[in-house]
Amino acid sequence: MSHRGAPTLQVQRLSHAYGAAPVLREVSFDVAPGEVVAVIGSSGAGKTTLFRSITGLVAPSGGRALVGGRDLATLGGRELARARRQVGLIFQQYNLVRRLSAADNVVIGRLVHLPTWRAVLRRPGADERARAVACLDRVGMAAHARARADTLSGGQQQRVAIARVLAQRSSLLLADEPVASLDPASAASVLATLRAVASDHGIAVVCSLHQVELVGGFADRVVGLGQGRVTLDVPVADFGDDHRAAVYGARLEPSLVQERCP
Amino acid sequence: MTDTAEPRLALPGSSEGECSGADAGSQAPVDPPAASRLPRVRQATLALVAVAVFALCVRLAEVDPGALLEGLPKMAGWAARSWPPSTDGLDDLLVRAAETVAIAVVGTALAAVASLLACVPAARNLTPARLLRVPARWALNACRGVDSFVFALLFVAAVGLGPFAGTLGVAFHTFGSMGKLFAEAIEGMPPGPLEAAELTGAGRLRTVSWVVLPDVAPGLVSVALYMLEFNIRASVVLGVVGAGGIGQQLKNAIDLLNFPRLFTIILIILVMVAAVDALSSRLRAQLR
Repeated sequence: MSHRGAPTLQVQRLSHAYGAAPVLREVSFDVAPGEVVAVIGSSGAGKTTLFRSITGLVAPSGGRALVGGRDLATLGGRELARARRQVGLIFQQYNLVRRLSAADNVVIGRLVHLPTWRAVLRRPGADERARAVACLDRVGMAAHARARADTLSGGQQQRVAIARVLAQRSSLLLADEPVASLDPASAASVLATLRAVASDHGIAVVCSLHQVELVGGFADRVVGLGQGRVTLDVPVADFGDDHRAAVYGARLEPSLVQERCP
Repeated sequence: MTDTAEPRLALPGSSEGECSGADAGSQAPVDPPAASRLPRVRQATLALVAVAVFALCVRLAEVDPGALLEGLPKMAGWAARSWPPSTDGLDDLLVRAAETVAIAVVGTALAAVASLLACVPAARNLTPARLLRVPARWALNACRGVDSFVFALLFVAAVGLGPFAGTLGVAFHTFGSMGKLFAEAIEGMPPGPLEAAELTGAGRLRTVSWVVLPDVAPGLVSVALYMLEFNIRASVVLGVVGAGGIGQQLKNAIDLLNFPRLFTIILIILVMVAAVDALSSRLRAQLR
């Protein structure tokens, strides 16, 4: 996996504070097209705020995040809407429309491209429908195209959400704890799907995880966040137990926590 | 949007706090907040005020048990004289009953269309701007505050006697109630899908038709059916002000002391209301 060309995402000395409490402190890292970066760190390390800053949902107090060379926090109106299309989001709770079919949920990724009357009457047309099914096919969900979203399992819903990002044709995919609510088998299939999407389409993927053991075989690089700082940035091959301790801190190692809180 | 939740998460060592809390079980129980208990004197004052207000209300309502005792035998006499129910002009009564149903159905349908348009500016999660939302809420509250009966009186003066005035009366009042309930249904939907669609760059119109309406559709239909049930009952009295329906017949029968006919009319109303309620609740049970 070689990652050439300009980085899709450049996070440069990004800081953010809620009132007096700093959440991000001068966070910097780049992500190349087709590269998968796993962001790990305990709850409250600033992962969600990092993602919201990249999307321009919260304004950083210092530094900047560039998506395809553009800083979303400085944009507004139409320009912001267009730039945001470059960023696809995957959420812990999938965020599909429960009563729409899988295919219709994928079409939501392309709503801006539909003619107004098609959008309002919810008639996307044969072309868009075929495109949606093709996107579902790439995440292994084509057979469920007509199934209502709320009849699908969590892992299936998350793969439909990935298909929605594919339909959106984003260059950057941000996944905030995408497998936190899933059983191990579904989690593995969702992460494999993310990996394949990155490699096949050259999409840069940033994925936050709290299960460190899932990093291997999925990510190219591991970035550790601790109390708002980058505590670690290594290729996945170099990621070892000592790094784990560095990210989570010796006092919070799982075995110790279990002893104190049965 | 969930900014306020973040600082708590960001406090270093917050996950440890839970642990120390667990083994600190021997601590003394915390006192309940002081505000939950009122001092005795204030309790007594409040009770006294409540009793005084109620007594005033009883006086204003001119509650008079003696009048009721005197009136009861009169009503019993009417009841006795109303048997057997009259079947004279039954076909006309049935047409009038159908008119009442029609007033409720058309009035509710008009209100539903208007509510669908008004609920978007009135819902907080779709219209964060107070400049738009507050006037929308005011318009809905004003319509809700004026009863169908009062609207019907106004429309009888404006468009003349007959069921059309009643239909407009029902439509305006129902618009207020239904628009508010629609907006509340929308405010109750999960925020995630909405945010996900907005982040694709889709505008308000597209988001509403692809994310909001599919999600809240069963809720809106349920509200509309509930309003229809309510409006059937509300439409019965509209005839009294000349706004069409079986209410006019009801008033005539009372004025002429024609009790067998009154009995028939009341039976028709009961059957009509029960039938619409049953149909509506069956339809609502099928919504998923």
